[in-house]
Amino acid sequence: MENLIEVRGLVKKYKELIAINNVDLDVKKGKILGLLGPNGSGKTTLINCILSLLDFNKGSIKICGEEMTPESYHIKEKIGVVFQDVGVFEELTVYENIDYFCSLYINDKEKRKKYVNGAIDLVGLNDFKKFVPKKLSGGLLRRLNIACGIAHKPEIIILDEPTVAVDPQSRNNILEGIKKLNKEGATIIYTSHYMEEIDLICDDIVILDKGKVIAKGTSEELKNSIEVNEKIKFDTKKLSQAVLKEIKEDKNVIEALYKDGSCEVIYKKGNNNLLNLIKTLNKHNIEYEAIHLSMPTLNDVFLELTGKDLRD
Amino acid sequence: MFRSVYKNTFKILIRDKITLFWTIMFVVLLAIMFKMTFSTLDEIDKFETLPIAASKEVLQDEYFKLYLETIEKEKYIKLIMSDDNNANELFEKKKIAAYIKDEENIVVGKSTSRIKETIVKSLMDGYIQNKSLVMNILIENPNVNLDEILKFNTFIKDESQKSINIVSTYFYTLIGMQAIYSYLWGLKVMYMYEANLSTQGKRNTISPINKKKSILASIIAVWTISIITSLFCLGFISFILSVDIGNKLFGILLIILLGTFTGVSFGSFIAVSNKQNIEFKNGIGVGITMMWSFFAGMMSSYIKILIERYIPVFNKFNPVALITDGLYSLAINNAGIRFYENMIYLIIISVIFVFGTMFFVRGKKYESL
Ligand SMILES: Nc1ncnc2c1ncn2[C@@H]1O[C@H](COP(=O)(O)OP(=O)(O)OP(=O)(O)O)[C@@H](O)[C@H]1O
Ligand SMILES: [Mg+2]
Repeated sequence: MENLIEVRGLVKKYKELIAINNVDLDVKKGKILGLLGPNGSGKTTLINCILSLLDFNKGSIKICGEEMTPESYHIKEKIGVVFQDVGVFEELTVYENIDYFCSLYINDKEKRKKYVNGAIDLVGLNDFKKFVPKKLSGGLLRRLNIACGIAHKPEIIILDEPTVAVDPQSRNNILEGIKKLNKEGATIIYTSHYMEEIDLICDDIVILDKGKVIAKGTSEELKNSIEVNEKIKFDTKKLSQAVLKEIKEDKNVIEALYKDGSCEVIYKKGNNNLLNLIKTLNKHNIEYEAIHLSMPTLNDVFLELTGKDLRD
Repeated sequence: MFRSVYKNTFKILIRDKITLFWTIMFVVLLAIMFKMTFSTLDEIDKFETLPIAASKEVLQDEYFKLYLETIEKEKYIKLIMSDDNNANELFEKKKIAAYIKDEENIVVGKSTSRIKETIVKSLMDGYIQNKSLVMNILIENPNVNLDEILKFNTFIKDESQKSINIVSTYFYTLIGMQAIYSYLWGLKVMYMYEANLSTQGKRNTISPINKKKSILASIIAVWTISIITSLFCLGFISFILSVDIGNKLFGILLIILLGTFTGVSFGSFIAVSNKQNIEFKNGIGVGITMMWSFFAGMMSSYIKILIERYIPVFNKFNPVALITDGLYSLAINNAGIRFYENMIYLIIISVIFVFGTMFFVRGKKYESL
């Protein structure tokens, strides 16, 4: 499949600090690529390098097969970016703001009007067209920020944590909008440190930590690549150390923890994990309830690869 | 593209009420305050014939009498014969400005302004210092034009001009300060376009629009706004507060154009030349503008004279002083070399700021954002 964006061997240093350490990245046409990483992992830096905003020390960046430079106006035309920080004019209304940024790309007034209204529809700001940014709530402001970045219907859309500090309803609204843009043909880079979002909307996922790509693949591939395969959780009033030890002795168990009346057992790939657990519990006449079985999450992937939690 | 950028920037920034308020109302309020402070000095705006009383004794000196009569003919003074008692009465009724008791003893009325006092004293000095000369001339030709010989005319003209302009200078400085306050607009434009200064700047930078052209169009847009605000303040000072700004429209317009451009380029230079936050940059702008205004004589015109005497080069690179001096030289009808020299220095300063700005934004990519 055709790569719209190709990053090879990218290194970016801020003085001593290596913010991007030899990163390769492929963004396939028509896909949503998720860039997952904790705070400070280098997501924003990587994006700014791709956009030719930031100078970098080593490596190459190609967009649509061409070297990206600050003068690549014909490439810039195709890109829409939603930056992490809200960047709108306080002096302009919602409509005027979107129109302003759209006018940097679209000259034709009629066409622009259609596009601006389309963007307003997409992010659901129809009732707020005449509002100035100051009068918008945090979530609505984020939606405006998004509309300003995508109104010109770009082929490539880059969104840097567009859902930070947004309530769940706005968040869903935003995620749906992004999916819709993708369905209409846009290729998307989506960064976040919310793994659920990434898991939900992205076709491909790249996990960044300390400026390095530590894993990439589809959600399935990533989850299959780790040792953890399933997690079983159940509640019980009492669980002796001896029983816990016996549970741990199962060759498939990676870890078993009991705390505050709740036990979590983490298993490798294997058959009959649940059955074996229940057998052990029954043998010791332990009453249990609320048994819950779950598949690994991206957080488990991150945990296993780095030894730390994604959400701190 | 150029036109639409110009239009957009104009539209966005003209709505920035806070900046508009500061660049207009601050100056208007200061001007009103100045006017109230100086309104007591209004009388000196015009030089009038001074009513002066002289004692019978002093008029017995024929040459002195002749001298006084001669300058009375020239309409510098109006002579009234009097004595001590009568003079007191005349002072009370404010009918006279001074009473010449004898050659070395001149009484000046309590309500007589300093300027008038100076004029009376200098007329007397003119006589005493040149007594023998004056006597000889008057003996030979009582109808001589003393003016020519003693240069009263230029002296009094200068004296009265200076008095007009000491007051007006404060307003000229205010106009200068206002023009330099346009730095606020220059600052804002750079924040609109520089990716390391704002997210709007990032958006503009990643757009397919040529950044240099956009900045140029936007600078011209804010320059337009600055010119409008400047002309507004100038109109207010001239028409509402009736401060004399002369009638050399072309010269005044040139000052406003160059002055506001200096302000705008100053602002863009502050914006890109350092890594401080915007509050700090604004602080630098206000601070330097105030300092320039101070040394241009806004608090006391004496400061300007001191600077001109001891470190003249300082005010050559002080745009507020250059604007003040430019307006002054227009008002005293001396729009020659002095005026153009001021304008040339303004151009030099703006060119320095423009090149300084270009030096800092010349990189195409940023080291850090
Ligand atoms: N202008 C800068 N100067 C110096 N260091 C910087 C600068 N910008 C970022 N960094 C550092 O580079 C690293 C990567 O930062 P970056 O902003 O790219 O992370 P991020 O993944 O976007 O984080 P977040 O989720 O918080 O947005 C961090 O360690 C950060 O401290
Ligand atoms: Mg970031």
